[in-house]
Amino acid sequence: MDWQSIFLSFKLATVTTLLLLGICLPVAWWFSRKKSFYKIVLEAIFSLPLVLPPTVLGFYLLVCMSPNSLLGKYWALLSDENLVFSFNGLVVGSVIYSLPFVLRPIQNAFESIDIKLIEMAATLRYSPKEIFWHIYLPLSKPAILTAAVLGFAHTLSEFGVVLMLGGNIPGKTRTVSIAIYDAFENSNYHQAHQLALFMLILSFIILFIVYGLNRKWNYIL
Amino acid sequence: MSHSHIMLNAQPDTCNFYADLQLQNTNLLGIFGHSAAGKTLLLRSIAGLESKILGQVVINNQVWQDTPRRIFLPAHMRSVGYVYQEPRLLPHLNAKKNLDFALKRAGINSKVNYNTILQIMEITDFLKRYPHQLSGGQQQRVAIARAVLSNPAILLMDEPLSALDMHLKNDIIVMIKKLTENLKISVLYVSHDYSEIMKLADHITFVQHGSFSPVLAINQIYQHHSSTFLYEQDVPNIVLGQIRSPSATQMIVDTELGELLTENFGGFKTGQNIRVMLHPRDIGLCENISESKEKNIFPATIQYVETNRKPFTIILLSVGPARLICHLPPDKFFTSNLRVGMNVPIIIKKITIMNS
Repeated sequence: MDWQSIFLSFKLATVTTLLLLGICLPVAWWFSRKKSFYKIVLEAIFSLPLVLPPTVLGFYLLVCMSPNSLLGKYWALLSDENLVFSFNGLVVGSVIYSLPFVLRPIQNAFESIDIKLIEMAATLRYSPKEIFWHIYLPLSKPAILTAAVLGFAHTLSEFGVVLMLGGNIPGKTRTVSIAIYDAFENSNYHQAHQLALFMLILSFIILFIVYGLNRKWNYIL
Repeated sequence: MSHSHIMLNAQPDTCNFYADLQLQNTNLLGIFGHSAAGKTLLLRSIAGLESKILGQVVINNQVWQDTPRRIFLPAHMRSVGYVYQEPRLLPHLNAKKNLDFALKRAGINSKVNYNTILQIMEITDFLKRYPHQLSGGQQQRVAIARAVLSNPAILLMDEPLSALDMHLKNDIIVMIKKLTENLKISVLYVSHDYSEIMKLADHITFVQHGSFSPVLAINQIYQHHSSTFLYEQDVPNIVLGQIRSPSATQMIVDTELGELLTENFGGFKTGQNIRVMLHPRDIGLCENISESKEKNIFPATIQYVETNRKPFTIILLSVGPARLICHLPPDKFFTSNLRVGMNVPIIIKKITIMNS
């Protein structure tokens, strides 16, 4: 069993999911409160990864992050490492690639919160920030969990962007999906089977737990 | 001496809205009007939920809004308690935690006693239940307690009983009455149902197409024959009084009209302040003097007659310092010799008494 690839995949998915929650909670909150023209433009941009082929995304990310680009140059100065073909490069790519999968459910949940409850809290002297902590977050708990799992699973199953950005460096950029493809290419069907079955069972267990929790929480809400 | 006044108007060319209300001597100000008259807009403006209404809001000497001076405190910086038409409880918290949600905002100097409020609203038995496990009436009682527990400077109630059954309404009206007496807090109570307001309010304003009438004491709403209340159907006359010598079957009530004799409904003590409700159709004009042997007859003068409103002829009477209206069938009026300025005894056929 290629534990190294499995560990790397989970590390990438965990880091990406945590970063995405940090980005998407405030962004979704801002989106749910605004009705400006810029919001529509930004929403469209943030949803691009849903429709673009991973290769398009991977190609542009590669261009943006190459050592000759502005981003790549400064990154190399600050970290003594190139952004492309590195774990950090994979994180940046994954965050962008999985962003809509985390943003959409959270934004939908925030937008469906009854304005009447928001006004009620405001008249009880809760500031907009406090309303975010006391109303938006607890009432969106199931959606935030769904978003986190979607982001995690989507990063775990990512292939095209990872291949283009990271290549296939064991312990650094070789994730499970790359390892399976690699094993298959080399006619190592036994290893491909092992990894594929492992991923299948694990994904099922994760989804099973999420749906179970959501049912419990929805019952309370 | 704390000073509270509200002077608000809408931006030109938007909607018709004008309110100029002094809240100096009012405890519970009833705001009465038909739907879409601007009642809710007034409460929302006071709470800071409407940014497009201009003017001044001063509550207990604190300036919450003063458009010329560019002062507009956001909603969360205004110390209001707001009871909405719907309970608006947080669904993920049980009743106790919904109350705590407000209690956290009360501050150290809160004059509100938690246990007293819970007892008055009778919610101690279901504190652990979640909103979806409570009936509509229970939810609204929790919502009223919540609004009060935040220790507000003013309590705004926007049709809090309109979604409830009649028998529940009366129970909660009694609770609201106890609550406001206990707290000594200024209350604005909006309703399109005159009966709630006539039971609760000590002062009243009438809203029509966004314009608020001057604040009037509840027993003086007919002081002018231009009073808008004159034309409302089913608005009872209110007379304030005091119980004197209740016997087993009967009691005497001293009122502005004079002595009223009534059966003892039970539960009243000597010296208790009460309000008497007289329905316009329960006041009769006795042109025939022989009727005057009966009880509850008072000398009255006809001040004004309005014949153009269906289905009744409205007659405004002065009885001592009090003004009453009575309704007569139009045919009965036209066949009589009644006219403005005439002295005529009136007979009060039926009264309802409740705590003042």
